[in-house]
Amino acid sequence: MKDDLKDTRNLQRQKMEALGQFAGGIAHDFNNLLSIIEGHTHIALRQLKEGRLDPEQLLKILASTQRGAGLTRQLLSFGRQKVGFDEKTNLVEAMRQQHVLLLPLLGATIQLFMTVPEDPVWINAAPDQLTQIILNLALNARDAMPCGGELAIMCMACQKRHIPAVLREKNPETSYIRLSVVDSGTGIPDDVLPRIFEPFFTTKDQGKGTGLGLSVVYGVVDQLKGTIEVSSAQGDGTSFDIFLPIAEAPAPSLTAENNVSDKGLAGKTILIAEDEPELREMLADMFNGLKMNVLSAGNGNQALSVQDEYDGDIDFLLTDVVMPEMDGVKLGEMFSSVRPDSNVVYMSGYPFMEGRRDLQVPEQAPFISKPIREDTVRKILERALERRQARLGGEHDGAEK
Amino acid sequence: MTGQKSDLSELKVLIIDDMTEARAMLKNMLVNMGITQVFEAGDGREGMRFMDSAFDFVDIVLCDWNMPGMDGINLLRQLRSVDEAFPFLMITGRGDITSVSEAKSVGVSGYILKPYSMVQLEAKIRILATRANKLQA
Repeated sequence: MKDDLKDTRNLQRQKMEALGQFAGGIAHDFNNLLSIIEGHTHIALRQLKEGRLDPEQLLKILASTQRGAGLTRQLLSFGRQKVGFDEKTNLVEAMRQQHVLLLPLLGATIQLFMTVPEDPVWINAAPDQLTQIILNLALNARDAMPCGGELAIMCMACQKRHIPAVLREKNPETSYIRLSVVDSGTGIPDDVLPRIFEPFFTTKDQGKGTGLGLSVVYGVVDQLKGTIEVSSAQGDGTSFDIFLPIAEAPAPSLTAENNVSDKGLAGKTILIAEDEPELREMLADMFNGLKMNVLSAGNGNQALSVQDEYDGDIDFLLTDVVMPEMDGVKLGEMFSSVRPDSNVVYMSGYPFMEGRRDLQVPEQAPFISKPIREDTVRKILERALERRQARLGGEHDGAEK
Repeated sequence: MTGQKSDLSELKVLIIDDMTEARAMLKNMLVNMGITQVFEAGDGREGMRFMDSAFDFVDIVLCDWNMPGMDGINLLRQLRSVDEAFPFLMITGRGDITSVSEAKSVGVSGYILKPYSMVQLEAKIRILATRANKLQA
C-alpha cells in the first residue's frame, strides 16, 4: 500500500516535470516567434508612417507566422491527429529545399552532405510532414555535434531484402525508399537509446528543447505507414534509417505544385462559414483578391440561409469545423444535400480528438489546417475543381452510353 | 444525436397532410431533429382553422400540395393574405417548372421535392427558421 502510494507520487512528479519541460520549450519557441513578429510589425508601422514601407518587413512577418504554423503542426502530429489534406510530395524535391534551409541552422562547423536520386520519389505525405522528419533529425544531429562534425542525409531506393521485416510482412508488394540521417556526433548512450522516441524526453537544458522532436518524427513516420530504425555507438555517431512506402506519381496536372495560378478560380463563387469575424474578413479579402465572388456567413444556419437566397452556382463551401450552433460537418452534409454539385472544403485549427467522432470530416474531403495560407487554399480549391470536373465528365460519359 | 440540446428544440411546427402515414413519418423525422412541438392537420381547412386559433403557437408550416378540399396552394394564398412572410414549406412531388413558378408567385418560403432525405428536410427547416429568426441562440 505504502509502495503503491510512492509509485503514484513518483509518476505524478515525473508527469509534472515532463509537462513543465514541455511548456517551457513551447513557450521559448513561441516567445521567440512573437518577438520577431512584434519587432517587424513595429518597424513596418514606422516605415508606413514615414511613407517608405519596405515589403521585406511584411515578408519577414509572414515567414515567422509560417514558422509558428509549423510549430503547431508539430504539436498536432505529436498528438497523432489528422493535420492536413492527403497529398503526394516529391521527397527528392523536399530534400533539396531543406538543403538550403539547413545550412544556416547547422552553422559553419558542421559539414552537410546530401545524396538524392535523379528521379522524383513520390510519397503519400504533405510537404510539411517530410520537412518535419528531415528538420528534426538534422537539428537533433546538430545538437549531438557541439564541436562540429559531418552530417549525411541520403535517400535511396531500398531493395526488398533490406526492407525491415515488420513492413515486408505487412505489405509484401510495396516498394520502399530509405532516408538515412547519419551524424558523426557523440552518439546516444545505451541507457538513453530506448527512450529517445518518448514524448517530452530530452537531454537538453530546460527551455532549450520541447522534447518533442524525435517523437514527432516517430509519429509522422508512423502516419506515413513507414518505420524508423536507429543505431548508435557512444563517441561514434548515430544513424537513423527511415523506410517510407513509395507512392505512384500523381496525375500530370497535380505535379505542377508550384505552378499554381488563380485562372481556374477567377469568377467562381465561394461561401465562407466561419464564426471568427476577423478570420472571415481576412478570407473574404483573400478570395476577392483571387477575383472570386465571395459570400459569407457567421454560422451554419446563416450559411444555409445565404446559399438559399443566392440564385447562382456556389462552387465552394469553405467551412470551419468547430462552430457554435451547427458544426461544419453537419453544415457540409446539409449543404451537399441541397447543392450536390458543389465542393465542400473543411478547415480547422483544432485537432480531431478521439472523443469527438461527431466532428469527423468525411473521408477524402478536402481539409485545410489553420492558419490558412493563400497558396495552400488555392491549390486545394483548384484540385477540388479538377476532381469535380472529372466526376461530372465521368457522369456525362456514363449518361451517353 | 449527440445528447446535446438541439437549437431546433423550441421550434413549433404544424404538419398539414391528408395521409396519416405521411404525417407520422414527417413527425418522426422532426422528433429525430430535436423538434418536439409538432402539431398535425389532415387537410387545408383543418390547417387554416388551427392557424386561426393558434397562430402564435406555430413557427413553421410544412404542407403537402395535393389534398382534398383545400389544397396546399390555396391554403398558402389564404395565409399570405394575412401574413406575407410566415415560414411555409411546400412538400410535393410536383417538380415541373409551372408548379414551382406558381408556388413562388403565391409566396412560398421553401419548396422540397418528394422523395427527400431527412438531411434535406432539416436544411430547409433551418433556412426558414433562420430567416424568420426562430432559432435558439
